[in-house]
Amino acid sequence: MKSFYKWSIIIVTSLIFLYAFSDSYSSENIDKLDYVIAIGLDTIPDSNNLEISFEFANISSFSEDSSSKDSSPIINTVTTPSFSSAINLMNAYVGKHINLAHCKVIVFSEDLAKKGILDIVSSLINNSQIRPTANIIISKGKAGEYIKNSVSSLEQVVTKYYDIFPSSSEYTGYTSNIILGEFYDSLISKDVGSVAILGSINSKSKNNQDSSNNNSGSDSQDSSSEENSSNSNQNETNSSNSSEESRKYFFRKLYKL
Amino acid sequence: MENEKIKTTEAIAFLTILSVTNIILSSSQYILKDCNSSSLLNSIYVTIIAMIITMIFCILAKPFTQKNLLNISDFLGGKALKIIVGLSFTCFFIFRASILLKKLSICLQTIYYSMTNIIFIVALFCITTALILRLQNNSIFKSTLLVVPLLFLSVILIFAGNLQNFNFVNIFPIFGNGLNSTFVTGLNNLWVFNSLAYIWFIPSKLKNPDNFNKIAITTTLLIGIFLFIAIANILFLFSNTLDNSALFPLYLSSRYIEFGSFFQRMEPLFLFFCTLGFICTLCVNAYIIMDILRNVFNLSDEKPLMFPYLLTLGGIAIIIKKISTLEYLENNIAKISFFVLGIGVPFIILILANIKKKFLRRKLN
Repeated sequence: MKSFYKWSIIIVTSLIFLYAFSDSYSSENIDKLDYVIAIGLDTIPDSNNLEISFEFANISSFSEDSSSKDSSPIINTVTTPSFSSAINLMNAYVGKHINLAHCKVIVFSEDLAKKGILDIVSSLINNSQIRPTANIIISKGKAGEYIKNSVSSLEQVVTKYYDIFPSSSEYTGYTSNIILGEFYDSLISKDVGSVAILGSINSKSKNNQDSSNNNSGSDSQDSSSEENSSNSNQNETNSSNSSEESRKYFFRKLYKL
Repeated sequence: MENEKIKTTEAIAFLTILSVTNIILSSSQYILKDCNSSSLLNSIYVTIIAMIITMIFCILAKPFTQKNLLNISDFLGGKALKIIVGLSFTCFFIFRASILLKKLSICLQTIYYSMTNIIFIVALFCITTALILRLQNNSIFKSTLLVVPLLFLSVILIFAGNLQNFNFVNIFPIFGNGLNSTFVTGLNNLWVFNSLAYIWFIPSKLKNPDNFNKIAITTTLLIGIFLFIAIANILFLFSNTLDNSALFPLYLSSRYIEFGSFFQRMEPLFLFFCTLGFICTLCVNAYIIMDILRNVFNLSDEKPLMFPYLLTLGGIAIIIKKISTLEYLENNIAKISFFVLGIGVPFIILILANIKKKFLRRKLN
């Protein structure tokens, strides 16, 4: 009789805990999550609202059946007064719970950066999902456009590209691996000035765009689609005299705030 | 509970884990808040002071080998003093453990179990402790001996892994908020060494009671080393930007670690070791409290006491709703209680007991 009571208590307790923790387990299930790999923040003229773009990982591109061609990024944009409300709105819009644990790049537009981004960066650093090793980039144009065109012809998988592009700081002097944690510390500190990576979109001219070694392989691939051949790569240098029709490739080491 | 004796290494691990979990979960953050850039200097300073206090206590406890604080209180003031001292320490230990339980539960809920009520997380810890306490005491001693090196190793690895992100300039200004906050009010940070409060209840449990001095000094030294590494880790990484964070700083620092592209995101492993360490802390706490109550009320079997202990622990953890209340209780009430009960009361009892013993010896002669 005693063992019957003992086993009953054990089973009932186990069932209660299974029920209690099942919600947390199922809410964090990979099928119910949308992983954000990049965030772009823009300012809206004559408004205090922000235009926040989320780039989502296209899970189907990692499947065995997917073709070798890179799939276009999935980007959704919302207009909200703050970053936290953007998360809420995006959760409602996409249907799945968005997860920021794999966010590798956070892009601010130059206009927004000039206004001041301390409160936004504070929200980001206090978010328990966003890793402090995410890179901070200031974009010359719109951050949403930057994310949309941030592809590399040499690396098909966007997540891998975001992961490895800061490593070029180890062997070139043209960039630096500025991470969110470091950026926030320098923003708060009175003794250190904060710096971030500067990025921009460049578009190819008809004939004479051969700026760097990084882009040499992409010319043949993209020559057929001239209109859509905007290619952003912050590791490229400002090469030669460009034609009037195209924007210059340019890259600066650091954008000082 | 069977009366097994604790070996020297087990006793050192036993006492070290009580302060180590305190450092990981809470006290390192408060030291940084108070002392700012002089936290490292302050940690060395309080370690030296703690060593001196431990040595003074060892000298005072020398005439009372194999006697714990309850026996000495009984000798000094009779049964009344023994009951008062026993119950005061019991309340203090339960209060301290429940605050740490609440902190870790909040942390786990924030990171992993956002949809789960905190009552279930607290209950899970309590049930685990109950199951361990039902086993022989050897399980507590040996598991603690296993977990303490794991915690040390994890903090050292976090330190090594974060070297590339360290900003050594954060150590300046060297005296932080001033000499007063570093050396005078900085003495408040002695509460990190809360093992000093527990040390008085193990002499009767030791296999080699002659090693009591060695155990006390080694424990204090190990805690000092751990404190130094933990504070260095947080100070060089965060400086003064870590004012109010719901998550403990060592966990936040472990999020920075990347060993190449394979070993990334190591913080769940660190949290796992912390959870193991905390369960060991709860068991050690329970062991000492049950032993105190058995001693005070002359109980033949103290095992049934684990249910009211765990219910009280869980109840206090659940009652505290706000983080601000938790911080107030920890930073003010627990600190003051440690200085009164952990240092003040044993000091007074030992001095008076020594005087009484000398007086009785003279009377006999």
